[in-house]
Parts: sequence; C-alpha cells; structure tokens
Amino acid sequence: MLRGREAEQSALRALIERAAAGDGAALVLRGQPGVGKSALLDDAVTAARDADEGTGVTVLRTRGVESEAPLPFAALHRLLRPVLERLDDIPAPQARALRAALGEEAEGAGDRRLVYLATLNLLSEVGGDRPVLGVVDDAHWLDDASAAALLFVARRLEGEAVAFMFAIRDDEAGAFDTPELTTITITGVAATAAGELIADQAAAPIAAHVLEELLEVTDGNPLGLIELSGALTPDQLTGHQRLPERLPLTERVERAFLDRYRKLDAAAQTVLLVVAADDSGHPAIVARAAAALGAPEEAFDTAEESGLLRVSTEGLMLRHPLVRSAIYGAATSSRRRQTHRALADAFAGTAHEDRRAWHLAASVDGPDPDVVAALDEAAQRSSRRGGHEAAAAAWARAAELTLDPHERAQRLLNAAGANLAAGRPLETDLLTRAALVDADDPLLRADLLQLQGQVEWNTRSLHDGYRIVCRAAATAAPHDPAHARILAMLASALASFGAHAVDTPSPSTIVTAPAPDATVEEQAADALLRGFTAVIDNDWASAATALRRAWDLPLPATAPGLIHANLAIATMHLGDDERAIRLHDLQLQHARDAGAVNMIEHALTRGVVFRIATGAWSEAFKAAQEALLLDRNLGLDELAAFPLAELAVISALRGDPAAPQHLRDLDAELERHPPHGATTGLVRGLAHWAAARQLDVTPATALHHLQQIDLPVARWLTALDRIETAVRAERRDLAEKWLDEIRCFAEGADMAWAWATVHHARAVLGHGDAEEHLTRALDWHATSPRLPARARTQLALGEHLRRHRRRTAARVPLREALDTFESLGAASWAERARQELRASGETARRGTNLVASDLTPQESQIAALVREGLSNKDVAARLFISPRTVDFHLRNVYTKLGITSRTELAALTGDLT
Amino acid sequence: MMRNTPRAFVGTVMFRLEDPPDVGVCEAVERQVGDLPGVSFCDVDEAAGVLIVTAREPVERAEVLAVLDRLDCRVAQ
Repeated sequence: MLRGREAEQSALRALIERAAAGDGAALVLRGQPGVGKSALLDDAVTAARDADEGTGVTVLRTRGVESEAPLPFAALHRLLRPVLERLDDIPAPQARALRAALGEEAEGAGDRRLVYLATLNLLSEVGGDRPVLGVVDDAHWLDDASAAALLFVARRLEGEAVAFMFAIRDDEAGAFDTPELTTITITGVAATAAGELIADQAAAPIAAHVLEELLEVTDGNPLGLIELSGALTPDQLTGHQRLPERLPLTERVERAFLDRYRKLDAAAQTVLLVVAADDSGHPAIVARAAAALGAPEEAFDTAEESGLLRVSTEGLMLRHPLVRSAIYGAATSSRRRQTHRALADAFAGTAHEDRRAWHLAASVDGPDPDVVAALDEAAQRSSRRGGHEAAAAAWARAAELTLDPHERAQRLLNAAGANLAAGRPLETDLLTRAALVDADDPLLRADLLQLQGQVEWNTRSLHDGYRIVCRAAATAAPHDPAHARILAMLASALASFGAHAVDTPSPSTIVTAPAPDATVEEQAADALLRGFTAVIDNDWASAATALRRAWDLPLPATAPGLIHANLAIATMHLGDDERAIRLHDLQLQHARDAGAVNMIEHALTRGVVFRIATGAWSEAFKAAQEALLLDRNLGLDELAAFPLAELAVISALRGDPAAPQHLRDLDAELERHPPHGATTGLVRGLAHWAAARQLDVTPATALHHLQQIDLPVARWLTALDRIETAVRAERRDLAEKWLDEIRCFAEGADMAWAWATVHHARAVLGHGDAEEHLTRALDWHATSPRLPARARTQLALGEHLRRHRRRTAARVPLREALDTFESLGAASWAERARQELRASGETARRGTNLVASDLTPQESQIAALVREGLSNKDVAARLFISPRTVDFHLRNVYTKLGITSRTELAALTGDLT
Repeated sequence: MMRNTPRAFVGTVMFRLEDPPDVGVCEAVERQVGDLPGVSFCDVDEAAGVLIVTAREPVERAEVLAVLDRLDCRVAQ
C-alpha cells in the first residue's frame, strides 16, 4: 500500500482521465532510486485496470534494461507486443518498417523515422477503440532505438486517446532526454508516512529519535527507510544501540543489500551474480549459466528465500536495480568475465545472438577474432533493423577488440556511418577521428575524411567541411583518381554554394582530367567538377558547356549516388528549370519508393525553387507544405526553414493576405534554427526576397533586403525585382551594375529567361527604345518556361503602350498578362493588369481561382491530396501521419468549406488556401 | 552492457569530457593515463574537449575512467 503519495496518485489518475477524453499526454516521474517511482506506476496501472470495467483502458508496459542497451527496439517490442495484430490498420510502408525493426520481418526497416511514426499511429489506432496507457519503468536504461521512438511518440500525443508514464532515475540520463515533457519530481515521504512504512515491516517498535535519524539519512526515501530499518537489530530500532556509521543513501542501501547477499552460500551468490550480469530474466539461460559455474538448482531456492531474487511468470528479477549494481559491482573483474562467458555459452544456439555477442565481448581481456566476428554480425543485424545506435556500438566494440589497425579503422568507419544514420554527428566525428589515428590506407582515410567533412558542413562550418572534403580528394588522388574526382566534384559543388577556404587549393587542381576512354561515370564527375569550378569563377560560358555535357552523358542508374545528386543540384546554377524539375521529380519518386525521408524532403524543396520560377505555384505551394509537414511530423525541425522560406516567397509573389504571417513564421524559424550547410545562401536569399516583396515595404527597405542576396542562384531568381527596386529606390548605379551582372550570365549561359530579363531590365532603365526591348524580351520568353516573368513583361509592355496612347494595342499583352496572373493566383499583379486594361478602355473580369478559406496548412494539404483521388490511408502514408488524423482533419475541412463529401471537395475549382 | 562491464580495448578510443579541464588537470590526465600499462599515447584535445587514448596492449576502459574520476573529470555519456 502506498503511503503519503496522494498528490502524485492524483496527477497520474488525471493523466489517464485526460487520455480517455482524447487529450493524451506524457508524464515523467523523476527521482532517486528507491523513492517509489515504480510503486506509483504500479498503482496507476491498478487504478486503470480497476477503471477497466467502466471506461476500458488498454495498458501496455515495458521497462529499460541496462544490459539491453545494444539491442535495438527491445523495450519497444515488449511494449507493443499485445497490439501488433493491429499493424494492418496503419499505412503499409510504416507497418513493414515496424515489423522489420522488431525483427518480425527479414526485409530492412528503411528509414528509422517510419518506425517511430508506425509506433505513434499504431497506438493511435488502438486508442481509437479504447484509451491506451503506456507505462515505461527505468526509462533511463531504454535501448537508444526504443528511447528515440518513445520520445517521438511522447511529444505527439495531443489529440490522441493515449497517455504515457515514464519513470527515470535522477542520477541517470541515458538516451531518454525529456526536458520538454511534463515532469513530477518524486521526493521522500513525510514523517507520518515514513513511520507507517517502517511499522509495516519492522520487527520492533521504532524509537522517535531513530525514526528522525533514519528520515534525515534517507530523506524519506521509502526503499532506504525499509532496507535500512530492516537491517537494524531490535536494539538499534528501539534506540538502545547506536546506528552504524553514515554513508550516502545509495551506497547505504546497496551495502544493506550486499550484506544480505554475502550471508548466502557461494552457490546462491553465483545464481544472483548471473541474474545481475544478464537482466533479461530468462530462467533457462540463467540456470544453464549458473550450472556451468557450479551452482546447483537448489541454489535458486536459497536466492529466492533471501528476498533478493523474485521469481514470477515474467521470469527472474532482482529485488531492485540497486541489488544488481551492488552484487555486480562487488564481483572481481575475473569473476565477471567468467560469468559473462557462461552466459554467452548459455545463449549459444538460441535466438538471442546479439546478447551472446555482447556477453562474449565482456568475457575477454583482449583482442579475439571470434568475438569480433560475433559483434560484426550483431552490428549487421541491428543495421538491417534500423537500430543504428546499436550497430554503431557493436562495430565500435568490435574495433576495440581488433588487433589489425586497418581492420580496426574499417570497423570504426562502419560505426561512424551508423552513428550518422542515427543522427548523432558528435559520435560520428569522434569515431572518424579515432579511426584516422590508425588508418594508413589512403582510400580508407579518404572515406573517413569524407564522412567527417559531411558532419562538419551539415552541423558546424560549411567552409571547414569543404576544407576536409578537399583533403579527402587529395588523399585519394594518387591511388584512385576516379574516386578522387568524385570527391573533388563534391568539394567544388560545396564551393559553388558559398564554401571557401583560402588555405585550400581549388578542387579542380587536385585531380587530372580522365583519359579519353574513361568510363561515363568518370566523365560525368569530370564535367560536373569543371562546371562547378567555372561557376565559382563566374565563367558562365564554361560552366554552361561543362554542365550541359554532364547532363547529356548516358549515365547509368548504377552510377554513384553523389554524381546523380549533383547532376540535379547543378541545374540550379543555370536555372535550367525543366531539366531541374524532371531530375528532382525522378529523385522524389525513388525516395518515395524507398521511404527515404530525408531524400523526399530534399527533392521536394529543391523542386519547389524551379516551380517558383516557372509559375507552377500551386504545385510549389503544395510541395513546400508537404516538406514542412514532413519536417514537423518527423522531428526534422532543423530543415524547416527552407520550405518555410519557399512558402513565404510564393505567398509574397501572389500578394496573398497571409504573406506577412508566412514571413513571421519564417523569421521565427530562422531564429530558432539558423540554416546550416550548403542551403544557407539559398534559404537566406529566399527569406530576403520574401521580405522585399511584402506589399507595404518601401523601396528603400526592399532594396536593403535584396542587396543582401549574395548567392548567384538566388541573384538570378530575383534579378528583375532587384533592378526594378533599385530604380524605384533611386539607386540607378546599383540597377546598372546588376543589369551588367545578369547580362554577363546571359551571354555565358545563353538561357532564354536570362536574356529576357536583360531586355526587360534595359527597358526599365531606359536604354534605348523600351517597346523594342520589351518585344525582344517577349521573343526570348516564348522559349522559356518562366511564365510569371513573361506575364510581367507583357504587363510592362501593355503599360508602356497604354501610356503612349496605343490603347487597342495595349489590350493584347495586358489580357495575356491578366490570364497568367489569375492562373497563378497573383492577386496584386492581376489587379495591376486589370487597372491597366480598364485604363485602356476594356472592362476586365475578376478572377476566381483562389478559394479563400480558413484551412490550416495540414488541412489544405490533406484536402489537396483527397482532391487528387487519394484514399485516407494513402494520404496518411504520404504525409507521415495516421489515417485517424487524416479523417479528423478532413472533417474540419468539410465543416469549414460547408460541404459533406469527398465528391463535393473534388468538385471545387481553384486552389484552397 | 552495464557501466562496469569489463571492456578491454586496443587501438584508439576517444573520451568526450563534459567540461574542458584546466591545463594542470590536462597534464595530470595525460601523465596518469599515459602511465597505465598498455597505453602508448594519450592526449587531451582541449579545444575539442576530448581525451584521446591509444593502446598497443589491452587496457581496461574502467582503469582510464578511474583516473578521470580521481581527477574530477566527468566523461559525457
């Protein structure tokens, strides 16, 4: 019976009641060992089960087990086992990923975030029938993969009929980092409750001053009160004899346990040490290992009678985790090794190969090839299941037991790669540094440097990352020129997006040109390298020639991913919109097929840039929203600034009333997560463009923003805006300079949109005959896919003709401009075209393509996909949410739009914003 | 595995230190860890907050941690 815990019990019961009302949440109980966290969890479970007859609550339980740290998803598997039959209710890719992660399907788990999402959606589905209570004890000892999945779930319970309770020791951090979850700190019980607790157990009445001293020593910790008072003699309890000397509480409790342990015979001690060394609690395994160490079956009875061992249907458990730390800590290292060897032998031939590998690793006192082989296999198994942290740990441990420096460095490289996949850049960096100490092989060193560079440019400095990749290329160059060329190409790609280092030679000087009969992969890498290098040098003619050659090469699908990815990235430099959209859509298709979340986000956001340019703004808006939802739904918040910047630009270009809000959202995100790496220049450029295009900004303010755009890709996108704004702000010098800049680009790259911009800008600046320049601009626009720019030139020509009293001639370009602006939903430009048409004597119609509504981004995204004909389950799979969530949002959409069915939704015309 | 599970190692292992130690402590760490049997190289990279230990013969990880513990250097998890 709990004593003195009424407030905590009430908080836990309230949590269950909230979940039953569909308002799920998570609660963390934090406190010292023995303070009563587990007892509170048990009490909450009992309360939930008592309520079972009335409200119906599904209770799912698991706990962290210290020895399971290297076993991916072990704790999650125990939690979900009772509800796994409901997996068919969630989107198939998520169900497959979760099955693979739990080892129930041989196929690889794919992206780990699918596993997290599958967990959330499975619980959401189960909660749809009956509220769910998830209980996780000893969460500080959860294996990393389970901890990540459960944290993901715990942060997303709002609106779900699911509650979670976690118990964590305050002296352990582990992978379960919970600063943003509601936490109750469990402290000791008060004097009255303490007295009652001791009275429940003690053999003699306790004297008031003894109780006071025990309270002071234990700070009211219930386990401490029970164990320390239980260890006292009747004379000490009644105050006739002094209490033993003082120690910190945990040590005192451990010593109390250890005293009991040491009073047992050797065989019972052996049994307890075996259970302490493997807390999986498998009776048969423990029996086998104990027998191998000389403990007969009867020893189990002795251990159980001591109260230190509990035997239940769930297996063998020690009385408390402090029993385990006391017993294991007191054993000599050679005794521990013997125990682990016995356990490894006991696990041989069972399904627990990973446990066997880790016991083997603990049983040796130096390098051992057999143990290394077992750890390698464990790492591969974990990797297949998406347990990247566990894979990294197994490879790193295998490296520690490997004598050969080259093999050791190779294993550390594997471990570093697994850590990167787990999203742990610090650990990746440490392991690559350790491996570089040992690695002599230049190609292995180049691989390690490439990985180190990737961590650097993605998390810290783009420039340092660039420097490291250059070193990787230089290291590989004398030994594998083809590989070195790819690395040099990668470095030059980084430089083309703003990376530089004065102390590093240009990547193009690191490698020589490939032989004429070189493979198509080598030729493509070479052409890209030359193209990126020319971009850095502002040599646009050479850049265009080299990049076009790279795109024209018949590159096989099996070519290195880095080449394929950079072929798509290179399209940005020339503004080759159609090719860019084709390549990024292909990348998106492959990413969707593979469930590769990061690549889906990458392809979506890059594709949006070109759709902004071509005027496919509806598609661009939807794709940016999808990328943003994916970032938010899957915890990729550090990537969210890019799609937010794109949304801000689209809505600013449209003159949308929501544009200021989009810009505020973007500014807040840039504050929270400043962009890192190769996208920094582009994201900042888009942000300044969006700020400059707000309806109420002065020309001076707009110019201030536009002057800060320094990446060429972003400068080309904004060229006409920059020149027009500079003229309006009476900075003709800047306008002329920027015209010269885009003219140089047009002459070199020979892109139709660039020439169109040059001629339009010349008209703006009054270089010669405006009508002639605008007409020539339209000639170039005729071969360019950039519809918004074309419509702006048509508008400018119409305005020019109308001002020169050629009203009939003006109507033709003005009508075309109006049609385009209306189809784009560009309200402010459309209004300008309408005014000009009216001034030219024509009554223009009012466009109706935008359906104004109060839909949230998630709702409008769901509505758009439903209108494309996707089922709720397909929408859920696409947006990484649950079908129940789709259904919930869809009902809101119906209410807000005043409709009642999918058919009515599909029949609506225009974009929903 | 548990914190005090036997963990002998060869090769280079990095220990991330929670707080950068001062120069005197760094020197003591380098000297005392360097004196452990089997350790062939030991260096504290103060800028990175990392202890680098290279072992040519097997060294028990707990022995390195014991030195750090004695010198009040906390190792990040």
